[in-house]
Amino acid sequence: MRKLSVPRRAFLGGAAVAIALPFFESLTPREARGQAAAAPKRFLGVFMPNGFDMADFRPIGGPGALQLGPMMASLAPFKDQLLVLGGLQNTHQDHSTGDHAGGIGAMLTSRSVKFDSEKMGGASIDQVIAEQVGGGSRLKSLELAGEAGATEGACDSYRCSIGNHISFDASGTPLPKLFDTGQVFDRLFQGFDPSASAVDVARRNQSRKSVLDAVLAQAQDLKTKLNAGDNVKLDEYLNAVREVETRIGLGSSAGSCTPPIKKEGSLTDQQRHEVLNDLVSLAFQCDITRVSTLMWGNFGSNRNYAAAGAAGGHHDLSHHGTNQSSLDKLKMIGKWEMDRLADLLGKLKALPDSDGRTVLDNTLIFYSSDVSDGDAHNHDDMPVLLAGGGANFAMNRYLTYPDEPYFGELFLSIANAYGSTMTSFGEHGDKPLPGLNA
Amino acid sequence: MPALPNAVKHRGLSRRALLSGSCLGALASALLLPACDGVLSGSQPGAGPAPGGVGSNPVGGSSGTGGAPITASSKPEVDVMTIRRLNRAEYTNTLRALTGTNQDYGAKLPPDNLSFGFDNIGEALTVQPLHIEMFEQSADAALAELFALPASDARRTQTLSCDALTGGPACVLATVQAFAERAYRRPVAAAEITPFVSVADTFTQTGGSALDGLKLALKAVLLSPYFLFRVELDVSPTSKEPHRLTAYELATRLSYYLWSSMPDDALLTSAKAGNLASDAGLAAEVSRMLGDSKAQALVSNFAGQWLNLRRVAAVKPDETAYPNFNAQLASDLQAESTLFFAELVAQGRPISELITADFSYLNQNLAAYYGVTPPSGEGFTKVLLTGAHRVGFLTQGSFLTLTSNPTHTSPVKRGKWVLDQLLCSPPPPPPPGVDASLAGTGTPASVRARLEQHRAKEPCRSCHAIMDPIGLSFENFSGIGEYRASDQFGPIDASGTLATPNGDVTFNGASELVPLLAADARLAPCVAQKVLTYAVGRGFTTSDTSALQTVLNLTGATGQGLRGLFSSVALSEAFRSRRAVGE
Repeated sequence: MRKLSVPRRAFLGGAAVAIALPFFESLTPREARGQAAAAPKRFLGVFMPNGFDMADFRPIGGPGALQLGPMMASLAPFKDQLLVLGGLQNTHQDHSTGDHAGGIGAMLTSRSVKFDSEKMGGASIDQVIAEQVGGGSRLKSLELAGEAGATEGACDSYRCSIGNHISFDASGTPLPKLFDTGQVFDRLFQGFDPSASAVDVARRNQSRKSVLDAVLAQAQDLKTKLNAGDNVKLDEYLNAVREVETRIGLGSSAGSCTPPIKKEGSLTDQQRHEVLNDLVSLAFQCDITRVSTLMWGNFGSNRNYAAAGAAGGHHDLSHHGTNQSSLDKLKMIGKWEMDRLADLLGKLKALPDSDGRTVLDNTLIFYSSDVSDGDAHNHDDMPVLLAGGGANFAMNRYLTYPDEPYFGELFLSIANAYGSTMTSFGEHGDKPLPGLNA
Repeated sequence: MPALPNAVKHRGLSRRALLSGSCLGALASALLLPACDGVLSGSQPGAGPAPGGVGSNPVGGSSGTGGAPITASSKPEVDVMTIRRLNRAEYTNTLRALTGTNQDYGAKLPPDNLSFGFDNIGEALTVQPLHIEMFEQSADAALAELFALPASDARRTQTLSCDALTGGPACVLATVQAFAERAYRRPVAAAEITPFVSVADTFTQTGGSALDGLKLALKAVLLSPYFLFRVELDVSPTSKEPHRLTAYELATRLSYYLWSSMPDDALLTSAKAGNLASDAGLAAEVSRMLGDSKAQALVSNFAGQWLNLRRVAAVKPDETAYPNFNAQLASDLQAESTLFFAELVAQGRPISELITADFSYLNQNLAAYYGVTPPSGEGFTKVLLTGAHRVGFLTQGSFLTLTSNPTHTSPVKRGKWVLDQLLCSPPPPPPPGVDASLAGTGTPASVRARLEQHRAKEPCRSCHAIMDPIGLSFENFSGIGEYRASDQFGPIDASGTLATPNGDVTFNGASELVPLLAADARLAPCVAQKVLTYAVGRGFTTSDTSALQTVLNLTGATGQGLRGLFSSVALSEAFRSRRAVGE
């Protein structure tokens, strides 16, 4: 039912994928083999929509050593790499509306959403970490979507730019996410051409740079002619072009990583989640990127989990009104979600890293939602699960915080664990969250 | 950890609940929106002074500095709009027109942010590294396609009019300049593209082929901000004074508004000749463009988002609850509403006919679904729906399915949609901590009974008293829009009471509700507001109030309904002018 370890060739393409050598054997210089080289630290933020049945989410037996409840049963093989946090709140909701969108915008930023703005007030934790650790990889970060398109219409009276994104850059502008798994595959592995000579590659990179340099110069000239409002947009353009140009030629060693078989098109929800798990795991192992986020559903996602035995719309069901049938279905959805997380952890744990440990040992996963209970829409006592060894927190525990600190404190602790010297994060993140290092 | 019930453990609930106890209070700052005050009263925007007549509209220079000041006696208000990046549909169409490709390159871009219900809002259209990566790849791919075409192919000669191998630097310069003029949608000085030609030169001087060098220069054009953005310049970037667009800027706005694509040669010629400066010249151009097949983009992209038709193909009702629903039906329902809307525009039908029309477009599959005599032949045919329980868009399967949950109808969603999209009176979301559930723990009851229970509670009542009766009037239509006289709880009761300026009016079913909505004074201004938002790419603001009234007056004068509305918006000052944000 669940896998302790996943055979490499199971990734993406089943038996058709043939990877002759473990990736790092082919990549690591011969003389360095056997020595523990420092591995990059990775971070993955996962958003699951509409909250959880919190009675089922909470570990059993109260704070202390972690005892997984029925929802998290499939996470048992990774229990020593899990930390469940109770009592955190994710945003200051001092206004009358905005529950889902407010929770989504705040989930990785610990900031309240502003009305009439397409932006958040600052960067999300994943982007803060990417600034710290993402310098050498080909992609600064990888934003993934589990649901196509974007919710239309009113997003809790906020702009929908917020409700459909969890990652925000330093200016608070949302980072778009890719849904099409084939496109994600291409972004990670396209251009892999083992026959290209170093001269060819250098020439191709030089051509890209020369074109981007020329348009950058033109854009700089345009900047002097535009008004201040339009220049906000042009600055986005300039920053984006510079970011792409800076990374041309970076992480080319990842090209030695044998790409998996591409899986795209129509996928069941389970297949889609597992393919995304494959892609992010390999992107980490191949060092194509060190930071990723997965937004499994859009704002108010009404996905039908009939295949998990929970027919109906997820958002609709999340307004359970203590109706037992709805609560039972929410338990099934929660269990389904945890089973997919188990799949991800299994894959990360099966991948050897350059330091001789596993990729999971060098990754921290932050897993949460926009609200706590989908019916009450509350933002206190949020569901928060951390997994993996990336931040060196003391795991295998259930911690509760009766004084209800904000996510900002947790994110400050995480940012510090990744080498940032920042002293506050977002709103209400002026001190580190105690207890994480035991 | 004590597990207190979440609903009571909510900080500050009482204060928030108090604040939002009245729908009216929550909407106090909203524009023109008296929602949830219990009265479906008309809220005609205040009739402001009509925007002044015709200012001079000079032909813009290559990288000109904006059009002339507006020389009207009564200065119209024009709000700031942000320059717009080409969105996915616009990028696809533009690259097709420019390079002759048939590919949908816009589909490779991440979804555009939606704001005010549309994906062409300047402020919300971002550029992030992922976009640049995709623009690079698409430019490479589209140019590779172009260069692979046979030498005689018109799509190739449109861009490659000389031989770069033998024509030397003059050929490269001429090719890049001509390409940039089409890509930038305006005249381009040679000095502007000289750096791109230098890229090509350097490439060939270091051993690259002349054709590959030219390709790099053309790629630079496709990555230029002048191509990726619809650049509009202000007379003074620090002044808030409104001014007319240059002729080329106006041609570009028109083209992306009506066609979601770049201007064609005829439009650029009109711009160059100064024809767009006069009301008559502009109206003539709009009329020509609405008659062009490219105006189908207005249906796909405006109606596709306003009426949410784009989403129909992706909607997934539960297979067990609705075994009759399948992808073919979804696709047919989308086609039906699309053809229906296109017909209303083409025939210049009154705006209210959107919801009152007695016809639709059906194929054999849909005739069976609606229970009417099937048309002969394979395709879609205009069919009268008298006696089929149907009237206008609100009883079409697309709308009814879109506004349902996977396993059951949602009168709340249907009612809310009408308030949001047809009356521009959106109710605020439920306040935090409110028990928004419909499902009771007692005996199963009809959706009407459960809604009545729910509506009895404050703060739900004030908004739901307006949303629910509208939605309940459509209860004769299932979650996939099939007609039903009864459900598992017995005969459907689709009656209700609507508060109107003339007092409460009772109705029974959609056929009696729809005429009340069609007569609502908010309908036409709301539709005009949606079109204006789509056309200018920013949210509707108070400064648009007088523009809106002018648009409505002008629309009325044309006698051309929806078609007249599209035209009138193009003639509005909000569309023809811009201003800077100021210091």
